[in-house]
Amino acid sequence: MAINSNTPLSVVAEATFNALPVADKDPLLTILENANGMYEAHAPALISALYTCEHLITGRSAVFWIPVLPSIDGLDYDFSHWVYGGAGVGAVTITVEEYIAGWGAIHASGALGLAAATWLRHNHTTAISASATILRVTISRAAGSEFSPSAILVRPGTNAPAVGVKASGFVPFDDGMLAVGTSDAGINTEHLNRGPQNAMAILRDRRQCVWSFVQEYSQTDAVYSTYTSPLSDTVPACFGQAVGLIPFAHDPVVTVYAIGVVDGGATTDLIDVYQVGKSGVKLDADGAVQSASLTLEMDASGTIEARAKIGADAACKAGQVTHIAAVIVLWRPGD
Amino acid sequence: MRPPGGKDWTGAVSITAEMTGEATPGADVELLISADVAVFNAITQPYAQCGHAFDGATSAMLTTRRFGCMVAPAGLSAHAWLAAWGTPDIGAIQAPVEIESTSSGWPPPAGVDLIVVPSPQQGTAAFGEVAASVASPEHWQSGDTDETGPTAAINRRIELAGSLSPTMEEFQVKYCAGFGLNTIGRTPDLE
Repeated sequence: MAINSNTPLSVVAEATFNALPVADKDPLLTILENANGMYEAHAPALISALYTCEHLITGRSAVFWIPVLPSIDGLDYDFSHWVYGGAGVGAVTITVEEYIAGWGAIHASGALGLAAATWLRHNHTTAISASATILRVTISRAAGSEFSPSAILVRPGTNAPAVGVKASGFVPFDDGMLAVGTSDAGINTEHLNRGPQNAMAILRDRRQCVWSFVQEYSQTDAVYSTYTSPLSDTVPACFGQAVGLIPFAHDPVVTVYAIGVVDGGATTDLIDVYQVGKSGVKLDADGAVQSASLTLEMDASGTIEARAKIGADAACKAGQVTHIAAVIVLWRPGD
Repeated sequence: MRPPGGKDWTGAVSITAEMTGEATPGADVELLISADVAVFNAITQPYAQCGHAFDGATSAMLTTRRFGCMVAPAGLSAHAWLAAWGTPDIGAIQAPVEIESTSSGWPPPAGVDLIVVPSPQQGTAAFGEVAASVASPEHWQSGDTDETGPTAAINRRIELAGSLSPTMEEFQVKYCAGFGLNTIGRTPDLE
């Protein structure tokens, strides 16, 4: 008896169903082990962001706060960090912390070599606690050497399903349930329902990143703020626009997570995340993660090219400065 | 023939819905097909793709970017949705966007495999300037020419791995301020 996973997917030929006289061990076993394989390998991006930050930083660290809503199963995630090295050959270090009730380190890279004018891609596999709400990424380089953070990608790693019901609702399938002989295995309702229910549990548990904008948390170090474009609370500054895609969707509901920072004064409703030409949500810029739901009206809806042009603005109160540290828009199938 | 799945999942995902409630269901092939299609579609549905907003076009910033996108099984080719503001010269036409990727031509420099996307007339404001209600960036797509053996750097589809497993496609992109990967070509038959 074993919990086996089909990775990659094992495709059941259409002809199999045409020829099948009765329900038998296969293809049911294949279907159930495909669902196990989905638990092991399903890997939409949870976080995918290109940093907007100072180019060729020296003499300080770059620090990014990124809202996150990880799997409730405490999965391992594969992280990739891209950093460009300017002048100098000093070592790079990358640390990742998660915020629950306080900050806790989950990864420390050690010294990473980087020659002048070359790229570094640092990969690691690290579990993110189910209750984590923010990831803090700190990138540093030895004094006198330049660096430019480029991007981060976080997606589920290889998570072989182990025995026991998961918090997500996923129930690993053990082949012993169908192993009594090869042609006389008992088939019951559970066998037919389990594969689809497991697949749906995985879809619901693993959020998919639809839009992002991330710059440094420190207003001193951030490149763009309302000071860069000194406007007002009636004419806000735009921090970015891009097209996000949810294939085949019509009117999906996404969740917007934002961290905005002010240098003082009121914080209410200073961040505006919107679909261009459609509706949006306003969030407080109080230095913490704020969230709200937003229904998108997709262009090319119902097709593989279904997409939405999304942007993020920030306003400021008179005499004060606001900046957006991060906006992450997440979606999960079913919403 | 088994094409990859694709559906609007809104309101269509339940982890408790049952294919059958019968304690002793009949040996019905339709039930097996339903069970298989539900799992198969969930695995092969293309992932949502992030619209990355960033400043990678202002001359003082890092204008050559490296990053990665996750591609669901069966993804073969893609467009990129690109964005650019009016910098460095408001209203001027900016340098073409250059795209290199794991499946299209890697590592950089990709030579004839380089994908070169002409930039349209730029928006009317610099990055981070005034709100989109006042001025907007330009949004446009990379090319649709499905050419996997180019002899010159052209504006063509981005190639993807076409694997039965999820894959990370690594990119190097120059001169843009928005990037969203739009998988448009998929393996027509996964059998």
